[in-house]
Amino acid sequence: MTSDRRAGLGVVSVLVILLLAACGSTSAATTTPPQPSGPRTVYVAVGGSDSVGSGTSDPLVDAWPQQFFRHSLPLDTVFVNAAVPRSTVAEAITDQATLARSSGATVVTVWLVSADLLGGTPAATYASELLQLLTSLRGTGGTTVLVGNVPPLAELPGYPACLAGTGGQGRGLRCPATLPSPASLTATAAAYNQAIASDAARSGSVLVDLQAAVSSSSARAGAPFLEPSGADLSTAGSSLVAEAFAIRLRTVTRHLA
Amino acid sequence: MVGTALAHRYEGPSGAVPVLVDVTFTVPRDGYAALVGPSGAGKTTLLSLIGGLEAVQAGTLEVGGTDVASLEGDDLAAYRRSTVGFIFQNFGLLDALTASENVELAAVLAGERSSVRRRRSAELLDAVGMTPRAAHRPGALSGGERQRVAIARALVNSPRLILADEPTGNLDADTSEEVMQLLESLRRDRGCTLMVVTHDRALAARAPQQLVLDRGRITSTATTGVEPQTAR
Amino acid sequence: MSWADAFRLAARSVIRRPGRAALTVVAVALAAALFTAMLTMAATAQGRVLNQLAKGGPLAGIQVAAAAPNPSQAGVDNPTQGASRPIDQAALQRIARIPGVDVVLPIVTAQSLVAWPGHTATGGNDAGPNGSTSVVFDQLVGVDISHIGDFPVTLSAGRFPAPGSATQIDVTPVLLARYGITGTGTRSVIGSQIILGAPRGFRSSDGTPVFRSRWTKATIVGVVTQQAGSGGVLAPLNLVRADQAWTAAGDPTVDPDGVRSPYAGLFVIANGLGVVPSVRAAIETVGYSTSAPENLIATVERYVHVVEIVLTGIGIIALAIASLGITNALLAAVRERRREIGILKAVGARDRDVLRSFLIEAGVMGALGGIVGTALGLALARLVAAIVDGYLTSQGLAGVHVSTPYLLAVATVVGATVLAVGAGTVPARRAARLPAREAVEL
Repeated sequence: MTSDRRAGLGVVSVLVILLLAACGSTSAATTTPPQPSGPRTVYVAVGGSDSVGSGTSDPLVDAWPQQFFRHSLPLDTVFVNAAVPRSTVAEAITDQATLARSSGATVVTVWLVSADLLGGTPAATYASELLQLLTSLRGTGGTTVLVGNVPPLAELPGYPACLAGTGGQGRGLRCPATLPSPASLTATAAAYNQAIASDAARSGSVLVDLQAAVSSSSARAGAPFLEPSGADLSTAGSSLVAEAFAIRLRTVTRHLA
Repeated sequence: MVGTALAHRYEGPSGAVPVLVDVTFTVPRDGYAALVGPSGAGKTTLLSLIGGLEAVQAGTLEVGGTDVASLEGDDLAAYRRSTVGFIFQNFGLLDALTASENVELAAVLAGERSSVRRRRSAELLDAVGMTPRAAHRPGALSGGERQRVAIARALVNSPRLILADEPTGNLDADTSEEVMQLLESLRRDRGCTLMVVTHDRALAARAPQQLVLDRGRITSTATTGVEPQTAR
Repeated sequence: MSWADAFRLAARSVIRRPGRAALTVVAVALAAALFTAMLTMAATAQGRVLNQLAKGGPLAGIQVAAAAPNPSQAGVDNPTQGASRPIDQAALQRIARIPGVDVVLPIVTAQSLVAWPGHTATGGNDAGPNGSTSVVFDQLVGVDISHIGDFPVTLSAGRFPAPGSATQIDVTPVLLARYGITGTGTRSVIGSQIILGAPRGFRSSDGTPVFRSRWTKATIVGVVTQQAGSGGVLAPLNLVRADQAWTAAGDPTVDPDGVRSPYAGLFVIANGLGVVPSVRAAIETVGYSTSAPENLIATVERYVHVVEIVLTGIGIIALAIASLGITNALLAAVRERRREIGILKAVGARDRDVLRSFLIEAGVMGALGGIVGTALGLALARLVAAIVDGYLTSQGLAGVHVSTPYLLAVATVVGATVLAVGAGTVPARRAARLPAREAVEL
């Protein structure tokens, strides 16, 4: 290569480098990753005061269905809390179940024990109404329904408050005029739990054994299950219930957070 | 080449200065003449008129049938380009061009195609023995080598007339001899008229015809008719 | 001598005398760099200012509110609105058919609870319902994310949500401030999970009014300042529409203010700035209030135009000065190269061959200087823009973006070349008039 060609090549190289430095690309447009496809989970909570988070420090955040939704269900889950404070199973059949069906629920949690038990609903009636509720929620079988049973009496939301005669200090708790004896209530609670287990099996729902979860020594350690008045679940108690439902859900489905 | 009563003057600070007075001469076709005289005799001016570097002010000048005195502008440039080949004392090469580019220059100005002029340049550089140095620029050549390139350039358009102004003025004796022998052999091979301007009597004696110029006048014209012997 | 041969001869003369040509080329390059850099920066500044005026949206963008126009505010850029008036699909279609309208982009809003576990909302008014400290009321603003560039939205951190996403949102500094997050701390929220709850009024079986919310999880992917609608969350249209539909299905006796209008507003893009006034008038005839910074933009453009004229003048003066340098350098070259010019003529060059050669030399130097200078000027403009961009973004403001002004670059190179050729005319003529006898004069 002649010296002139080298000189010319050198000039051209410098010009190209300068032009490339000057031009350069425009700032990158915002890019967004593709969204995953698939059926969306619709979770509806059917319950009473415990499901509304009445006894927690921040109900909209700490209610156990809220914790269950945040920690145990997929990112794109839609959650409707259909719970009504102090609701009975009979009331839920006409009210909450209708909302669950109209919302297209694919996962439903049911925990309705305190209002019926403290309200004196007979076990047979409770069993029949619960079966109707669960069957209605299960629909054609595509909906996963988890149903919680009665925890130990001492930890039953509302019972300690009614026992103390405080009525939950304005929490809207309906205590019976005459509270049955602990032995009697314990027997009724046991009958409720039998009914819940039977109705769950017959309807194809999933039993969440809160009696065992709350009773276990590891679960009892730490913060109290109920808030100080004994009328509702505490924040810690809500977390325990949410975890119990989550553990049970993980064993039967692939709905993982 | 016939010059009749040529006269020329330059404008100086104190008026016109005559440089040539009533110069008349004849150089036959394919002839070889030396224009000799002391410094300031007007040799370069006469050469300039013959070569078309200046316009003729007075008298007539005919070269190869062309009335040079009547030429001007582009016609004069065409005459310089195609009829005359000039060789300068200081070689007259362009420093920015290589040897082959300098030789091609005259052909470029004549509008020749690049392939033709490259071929001619290569042939002429070979004829003057400068092929190995064709890509070198004048700064890298010796005096003798530069003059060889200048000779090749003067011949590239196949001129009828070669004018050499003190062609060996800047060369040593041995190189001068080589250059003159080259010039004379090329003139003979290509059949063109050669006029050499020199103040060197020995150099002038090589030419069969000598025109002596003194103070602007031709004082004598000698014709020996003997062609120089050139070692080949 | 052909033009090609004259060009080759001139180019060789320039390249093989680099020292002599370099200074001339540098002078032209500096002038061209100044010219290019100034005009590029002026254009960038203009773009940034207009972008700021248009709040990140297109200049010919018009905001349509779900409200009637205020007759006393005709022609005002940001008029006060009249009475509330819903925008439905029929109104959208009528507006879309107005001559001069390029595209109509809907804006949907939905009321929402915003729950941010682990974060505390500051201030008494910001405390959420039921005494919640991490839940606030706010509004979701839903737009078509695939047209986000057409909205008055400016991204200051992260990115926009994916079009059609049901789980990605952007938040505004106003919402973050409610949680005590300000300044450079706003960037730290990218990737955080937030819970959104669309409220809906129900009557329970005993007639008691109750609100139930439709909760969704969302990931914050960006922080934006936006003028599309009043709300602290910017989300894809589908996400907000789902929440809006939930709220709208509620019992109107429980929540009469649930959803007032299917569309909270529209963003209309006109074909050009010139038709914005007529399009606005037509939309107001349909019955809706509009706002657009048309008057402000027109004023700013006039002032910027004056600045551009001044900068162009300065640049031309710089190039003219450089041209004088070319003239001086070539005149000196002609003096130095008298013998060379004489030799050229002696070997047969015509006057115009010499003229052409010198003009081309001047043009080559001008073109070289123009190319180098343009590239330098563009690089300089980018450097300055990068520094300014870094400063602005560090202050939480939108940055600047430099585009490559191809037309300006070409014009500068061509202009430098033409100026150089013009500057070389006198020296070239002088060279052409030199007599051939210069070849033999001592």
